Amino acid sequence: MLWRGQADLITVMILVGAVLVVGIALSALAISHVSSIASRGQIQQLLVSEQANLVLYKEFENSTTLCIGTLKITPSTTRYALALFSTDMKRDLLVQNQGAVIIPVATALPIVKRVSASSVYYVYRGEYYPLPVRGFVNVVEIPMDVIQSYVMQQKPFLVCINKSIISSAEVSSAKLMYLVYVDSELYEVGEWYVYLS
Amino acid sequence: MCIYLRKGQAEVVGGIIAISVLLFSIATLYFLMTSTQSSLSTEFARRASFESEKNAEKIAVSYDLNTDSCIVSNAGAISITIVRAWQGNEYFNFNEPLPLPPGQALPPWPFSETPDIIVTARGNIFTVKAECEKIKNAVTNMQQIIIGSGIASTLVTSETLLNNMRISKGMQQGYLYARVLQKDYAVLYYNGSKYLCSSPSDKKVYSSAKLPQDFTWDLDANNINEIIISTYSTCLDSAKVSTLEINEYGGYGSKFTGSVMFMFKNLVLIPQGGADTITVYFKVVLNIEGGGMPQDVVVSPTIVLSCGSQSLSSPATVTTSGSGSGTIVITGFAIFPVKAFSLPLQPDSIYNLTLDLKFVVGPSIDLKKVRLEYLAIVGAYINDPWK
Repeated sequence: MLWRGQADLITVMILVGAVLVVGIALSALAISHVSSIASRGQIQQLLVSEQANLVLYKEFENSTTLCIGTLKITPSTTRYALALFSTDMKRDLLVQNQGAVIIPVATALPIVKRVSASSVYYVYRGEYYPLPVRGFVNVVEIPMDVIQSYVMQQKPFLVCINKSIISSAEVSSAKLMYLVYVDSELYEVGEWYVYLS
Repeated sequence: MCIYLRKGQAEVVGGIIAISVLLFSIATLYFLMTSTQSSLSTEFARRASFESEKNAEKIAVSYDLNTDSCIVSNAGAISITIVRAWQGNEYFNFNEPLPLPPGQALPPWPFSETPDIIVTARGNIFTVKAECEKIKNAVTNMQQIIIGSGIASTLVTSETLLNNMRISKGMQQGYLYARVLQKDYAVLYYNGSKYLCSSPSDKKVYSSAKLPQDFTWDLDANNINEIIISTYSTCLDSAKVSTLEINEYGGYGSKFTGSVMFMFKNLVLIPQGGADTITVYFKVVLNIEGGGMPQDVVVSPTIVLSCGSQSLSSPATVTTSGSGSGTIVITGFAIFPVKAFSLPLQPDSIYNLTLDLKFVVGPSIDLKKVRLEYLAIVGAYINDPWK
């Protein structure tokens, strides 16, 4: 048997508790959402900055090789990774032919790394999407000596594509992507299309 | 002691908390947007500035006939740094980049041959060897027929045209004359001892004995006399030669607006298998009154190459400068892209060259004199009047 008023008290406590729980949950949700937006905004700022700073131009081309001049307007130690895909983004052309991308100005050999395809994002019409392939993809990391001898000294370095290796992969065109690390994920900040004539 | 909340106080406290959360969220988003916008503007400005500097890089390639070498100089307004050169399929990285301040030329290359291309620190690529070969061919060809030596031999001054190559040789096919507002006039040139006259039908050499002492043959005082427009009757009698003004040739009222042409008959010989482009350079000296500035005189020059019924024209790019004392100097050039546009210029044919100057002058300006000081033609021969 409840005392007189006890039922009302319990009801009020339950309601107050429910309101507190719902209120705190909504606040947490709002703060989490805002935090997520802020985080994405900061990444977007970083990527926009990297995109605006990267200058690519064709420096040399013959029947077998295409060399892309790569220049960073403001020097920084940002490390780039390069990925080479067919233009339909369905085939990783570095899987079978890791020598398709050459950095001739490097004194050290470039490091080829396997990274999860889901952690690599490419740009399509201004928006970032994960690569439409499963498993792992190969990326070539620009050696540190290139960063120190070229990027930090505001000199353009060369990235060359072996066109004969691409043609042996039976594709007529390829897309070279310049990627930067954001935490453990890779985001595209520049691209160059390679056409086989 | 018990504290009792008054009626509605809980709602107020709850509301304050909710509004705080809302304000925090909005403020965060606002600052994020502001920061993003600022960052975008900064990056855009930096990239635009870089692209502007990149576009301002200009390299001039020339050929030194005496040393048989190519000269690369900075023809732009900003300093250039050369970081790499290519020869065929090989590249050469400069460990110490070569700085090239505006107006200066590179020291000799550290390798035996002229490179095919050079790369600057801003990512510009300039073709050197092919350009130099073109100039070398043109200069070598010109050298065969023009008096003088070196690159300057491509320059045909009024003295060369009138004194050495035209009038003094008495060539009937090589005359030149002027046309002002569609009416033909003679031209005069003073070589220091005699004055020479060329009209649409005749050329003669006269003694300077009766020339007035105050006659100004060199408006810009650079020791090269200019070609002066005159009437044919004045031309015939040295006693009548005077400092004539452009209005006397048919200007409207006190202001001149219209066309002044210098017409060279049979001047340009198109070579067999010639250069990809023919470029004609010129310098015109004007005299104005009324206290105007160079920008008050708008001139649109066109170079015309004509032969029989065929006529090709090219508008010229000009630079105008003035001393403020009424003398205005206009230098310019017009390009005929023979190969790129497959221009129908017949090899081994001789073409007339016309420099057509269309003037529009400001309301306070009186255009008094229009004189020609030099022509230079690169990519074609000057027709040899002695043949």
